[in-house]
Amino acid sequence: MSVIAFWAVAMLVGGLALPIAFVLFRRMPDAGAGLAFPLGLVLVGYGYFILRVATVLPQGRGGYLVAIALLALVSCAVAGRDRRFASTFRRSVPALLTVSGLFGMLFFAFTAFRSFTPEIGGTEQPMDLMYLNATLQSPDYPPTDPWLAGEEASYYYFGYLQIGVLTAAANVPTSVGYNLGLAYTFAAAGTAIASLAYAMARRILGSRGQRWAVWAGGLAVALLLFTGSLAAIFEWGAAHGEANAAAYRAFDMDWRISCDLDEREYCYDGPAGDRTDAWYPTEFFWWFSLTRIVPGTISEFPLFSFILGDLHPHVMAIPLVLLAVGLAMAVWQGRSRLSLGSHRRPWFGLLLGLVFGALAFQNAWDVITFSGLLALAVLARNARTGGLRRALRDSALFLGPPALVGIAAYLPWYAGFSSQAEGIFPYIGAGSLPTHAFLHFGPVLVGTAVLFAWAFKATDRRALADFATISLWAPLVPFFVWLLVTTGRGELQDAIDGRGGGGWVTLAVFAAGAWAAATATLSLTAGRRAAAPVAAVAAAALLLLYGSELFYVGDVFDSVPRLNTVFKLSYQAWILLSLGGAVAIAVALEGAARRRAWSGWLAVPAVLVAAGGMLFALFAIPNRTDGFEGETAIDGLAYLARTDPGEYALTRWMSENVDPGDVIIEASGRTWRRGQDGRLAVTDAGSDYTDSGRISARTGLATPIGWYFHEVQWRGQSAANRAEFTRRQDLVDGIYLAEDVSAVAAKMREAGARYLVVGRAEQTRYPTETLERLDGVLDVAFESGNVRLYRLPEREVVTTS
Amino acid sequence: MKAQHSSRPRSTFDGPSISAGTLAWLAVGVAFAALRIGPVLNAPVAGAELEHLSGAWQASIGNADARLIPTLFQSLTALSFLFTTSELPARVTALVATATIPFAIYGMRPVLGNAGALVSLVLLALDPFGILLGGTATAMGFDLAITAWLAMVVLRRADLRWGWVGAGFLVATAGPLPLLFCGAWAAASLTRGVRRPTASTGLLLTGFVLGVVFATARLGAGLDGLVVPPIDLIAASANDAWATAKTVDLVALYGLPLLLPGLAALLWRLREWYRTAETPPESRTLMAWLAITGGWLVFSLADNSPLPAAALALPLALLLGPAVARLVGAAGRAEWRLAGLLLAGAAIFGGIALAYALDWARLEKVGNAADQFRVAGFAALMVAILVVIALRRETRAALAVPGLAAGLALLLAVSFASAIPGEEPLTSPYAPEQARALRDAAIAIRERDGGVIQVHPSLKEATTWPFRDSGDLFLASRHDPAAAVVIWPAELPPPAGLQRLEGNWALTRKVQTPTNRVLQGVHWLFDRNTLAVRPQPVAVYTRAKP
Repeated sequence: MSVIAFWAVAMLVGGLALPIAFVLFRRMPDAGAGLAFPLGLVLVGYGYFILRVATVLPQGRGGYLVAIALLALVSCAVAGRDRRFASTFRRSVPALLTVSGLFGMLFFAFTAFRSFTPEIGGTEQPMDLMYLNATLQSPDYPPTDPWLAGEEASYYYFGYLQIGVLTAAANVPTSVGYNLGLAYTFAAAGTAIASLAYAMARRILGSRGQRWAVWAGGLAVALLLFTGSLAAIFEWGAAHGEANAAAYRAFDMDWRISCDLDEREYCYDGPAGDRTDAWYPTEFFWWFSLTRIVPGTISEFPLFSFILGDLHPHVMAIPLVLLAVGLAMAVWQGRSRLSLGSHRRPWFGLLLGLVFGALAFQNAWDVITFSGLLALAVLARNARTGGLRRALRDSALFLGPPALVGIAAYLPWYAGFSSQAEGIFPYIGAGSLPTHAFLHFGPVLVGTAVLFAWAFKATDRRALADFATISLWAPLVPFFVWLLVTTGRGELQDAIDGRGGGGWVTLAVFAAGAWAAATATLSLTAGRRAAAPVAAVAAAALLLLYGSELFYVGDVFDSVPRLNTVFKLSYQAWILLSLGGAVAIAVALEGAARRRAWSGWLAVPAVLVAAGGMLFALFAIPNRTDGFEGETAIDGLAYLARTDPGEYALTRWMSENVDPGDVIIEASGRTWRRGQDGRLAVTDAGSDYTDSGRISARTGLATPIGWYFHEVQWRGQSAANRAEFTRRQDLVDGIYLAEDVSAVAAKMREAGARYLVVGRAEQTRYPTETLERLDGVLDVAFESGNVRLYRLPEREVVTTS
Repeated sequence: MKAQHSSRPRSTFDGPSISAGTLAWLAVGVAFAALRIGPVLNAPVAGAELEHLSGAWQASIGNADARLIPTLFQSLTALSFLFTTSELPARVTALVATATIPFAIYGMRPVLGNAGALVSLVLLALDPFGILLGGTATAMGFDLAITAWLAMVVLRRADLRWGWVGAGFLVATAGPLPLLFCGAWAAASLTRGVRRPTASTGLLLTGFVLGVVFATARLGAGLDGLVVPPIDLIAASANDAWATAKTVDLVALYGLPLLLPGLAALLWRLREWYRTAETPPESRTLMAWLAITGGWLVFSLADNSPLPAAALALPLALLLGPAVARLVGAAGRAEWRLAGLLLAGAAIFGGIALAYALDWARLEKVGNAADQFRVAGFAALMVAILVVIALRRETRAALAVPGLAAGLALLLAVSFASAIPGEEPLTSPYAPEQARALRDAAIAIRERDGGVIQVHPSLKEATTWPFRDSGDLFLASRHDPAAAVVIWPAELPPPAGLQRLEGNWALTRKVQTPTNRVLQGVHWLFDRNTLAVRPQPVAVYTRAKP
């Protein structure tokens, strides 16, 4: 019932956004039906956010329902003013049915998959659950940070807020909403990219190419959601003991082959021979390591994210990112000139501001990339009707007001957000090996290669040479800047040597690709060809890959400086390449089928490489689900009910009975033991990725300190921050370790806390003698098995007359 | 004129005459008010009313309390507590406002038709949720009246001129029902492509803003951000336990006699819409109103609140009224000689099946296979006869009569459950008389022995209403030696050195919903005393005698 309710609410929100989508995306064959899900959710989410900040909406479910009702009112207004609403609706009925069917299919398929592995416990999932709960339970808005009681959340949490809308409206617990939120994201991403790819292909191929446009939509879904690294093939071979050492070495995958006797580094040090008893590799989480093959960074892709199940901002942002691409495409497709005067009817600018502003709020990395794409679309549109200088001026005037709206609308969030970004720096270190880059990006990059086979055909050679000369600056400018800065810092020689031969090859390939794609974009735009957006999307993706090889955004990860940059930018590139690649392949195949065009046949190997990438899904999904065996559930805390029923009961009791504004004390994460001298000492100080802050994460109730280093990531690594976080850890530990239990209440009041948890985590991290004496000074509010919740004794005189 | 007058037959009665129609309106109007007198006088303080009276009491003595949601009604209730400790004046205020609804419905005759409006009023008079809401002192005490009058004004396209300011103020300071109607009205207007706001919209919004300012002042209890009572009450309806039973159970127990025919009427109306492609503004508003209130009810099914069902009843009654009137008219034109015979047969067979079913319901157990076969057989015969009636064009309309009779019987059953208060799921959890008796006993002991009355903090909210006007209470989770009386959760160990005061004390009682749903539900329909009542037990301790 929870699944159906969640799905129904998602459909409702998407349905309510249809009138707005019709106006924005009327030129698309489905009139924007595929983009209505993220559009509706971003509008409801924003309405809820701003009305909570204004204290118009109270905490709780009713506020979410009011926000949905407000979207309905806005939709009524849009539908009422849109004279073509009825005709657009009638024309879109088949598309609406298709989109609904695709959304439902993806949603329920993912839910079925996730039901085999629903646990919210590993990696950063407790953090994700914490933020989801924070948006739902926070007594004040902007929401407070449950892992730093009394402080506002300093993170881009808009994605959690949107999943919170669906969770609250569907009336399901957050531990269920978390998993269904993943299913929603999966399905909304699928429908959005299918809609965009279909629209792009239809525009290129015309009505005669409808069948191939459908293929483009399907292929885009497959590339985005079901395709991963080619390295899975090597893993499969190695797991079955069928590793050809030369081939593995050629692709720098020999680290997956079992070690020789005298070898222990860069090889698999588990038992030799077969390491699987099934047709797929069964080693625990093998697919996780394949996203860490490029040294010093993470190279994720959506399929991996969905298999892993972390509800991270960059994952939840996929549908919104595709909506932003759709808006950019809609702008490009329009005819009239865009300038300041275009805002006489302010609604479009307002909406652009809200959607593109939301990109920063949802995953700050996306805002620059996709706002850039929008700016290019506006410029390309304006350049059609005038000179470049005028186009630049008008574009800037047009984009100014939405940019202001995009910032002003989210000011309450900006006020509490402290970015960890410390600036942009040239990357000096080992570059990505071309083999690894191919294994990782090959399945989505090959589509772009196919694009080059047909994109230049209609362009005059001389004009093409001009375009190539102009677009050469696209890769050259970043490279010169990199060269200049490294020289200025006296690090040029280190930078050249450190990158390594392989790194330079990869850089050159990405540069060439970006150049070719930029040339294609220019030539197609100048020729007013429908394929220009496809080339633009590919160019943006390749520039992202190229740029992340040259520069990085400095943050707290000093030892792996480009970790986040490559991770986040290559993720964006994957989304764009899935879209552009799918359309390019479908158009090429249509050419092969209809006109026997030679370029079309290039698509065949591209499809084969993409299919190779889909083997990742084939091998990793059974691994993640243990061959689809075992019990199923959709509650992410169902495992807790089995493994620690007392703590599960405590979690549920606290969710229902403790006031959202109350602060709780639970284990800080540090482990204390008595030394031989009888003194207490910290034996393990690591709190991140542990059960520190677990109750807070599961309930949204604030605790003085949760994951220490994550707070550093969110708030910066200043001495003041570290001192404050350590003070809080000391305060919490002091409560559990108090020799004099009569001081416990005073310390709890100092922490602003009303409740104190004693569960398995506290019993293993602190000596138990203090815990046993708490009965004397605190009230027992709840007890189940070996779990106890204490409450400060209360004394109050109340008047009744 | 004279000649005309003289040509009429002379009346044998020279006094003032009154038409049958007027008499009917008068009778229904009086019944409407009369059905609400029972709750005013006898309904236990329960659910939302218990919460809101507690909030109003706290406001009246200057205590900050989240249960205060400053609607105009709750503000007046708080004001009344300056003069009385009884809930009765607040309930009478609600009744007086609600008793104006018949006039509003009377005013809708041009839209609904005379008969349609009258039937709508009958349905509203019998709506169990409306009976309770209109006769008790919840924060939504004015909601039904404001909504009905607003609907009358909007559906008749009347212009209130400056009165719109007052209307806006009332909407902002009422509960959710008027706001939902305004939302529907706005949605209907917007889908018609109304491009510019009219002066009346501006005045309405001005009044709304004034209402928000009034509510934000929170009766002088201190500013705490913007307060929009209808929105706060929508949230409270979802978050708080205004009923022991889930909303879905309350609808199943009390709402089906109105909801099921309402759904049928809705489908009929939609079919007409589709056929004629004409959408008059009144119909649009009514449909949007149904959509919004229906949507709210669907989203609230898992909550514990009767309010969404009360919200839906109003537009449903306005939709059903004209439909029933048409149906009755059509039934009158049916071929009754044949239809009557057939219906009598169906009634006999149906009656026999029903008798068995009622017996099963009384025993709350389905009978043996032979009985089941008999019931299935008689039911099949009844259905077959009804099908025969339905298949013949000249008798088809006669089917309305058994349908309406069955619906009315069920509606009367649930209406009287609400109008004659007892231990009902609709009024649960409630504060029993015993809670007030406990307060009197505690005060007597305090006056006799000295010291203070100590209450465990977990009982803080439950004691607000029954312990109103009791001087100072000492809330503490650990026994204080100064306490003369200690009121403690029954499940906690007794405080040392005290003796327990005899009696099964409770601060609230909860009426359980039928567990074996269908049979127990049917049993409950004809015997209201079948449901279990669970008290929230408290233990009362006094100082041990030396």
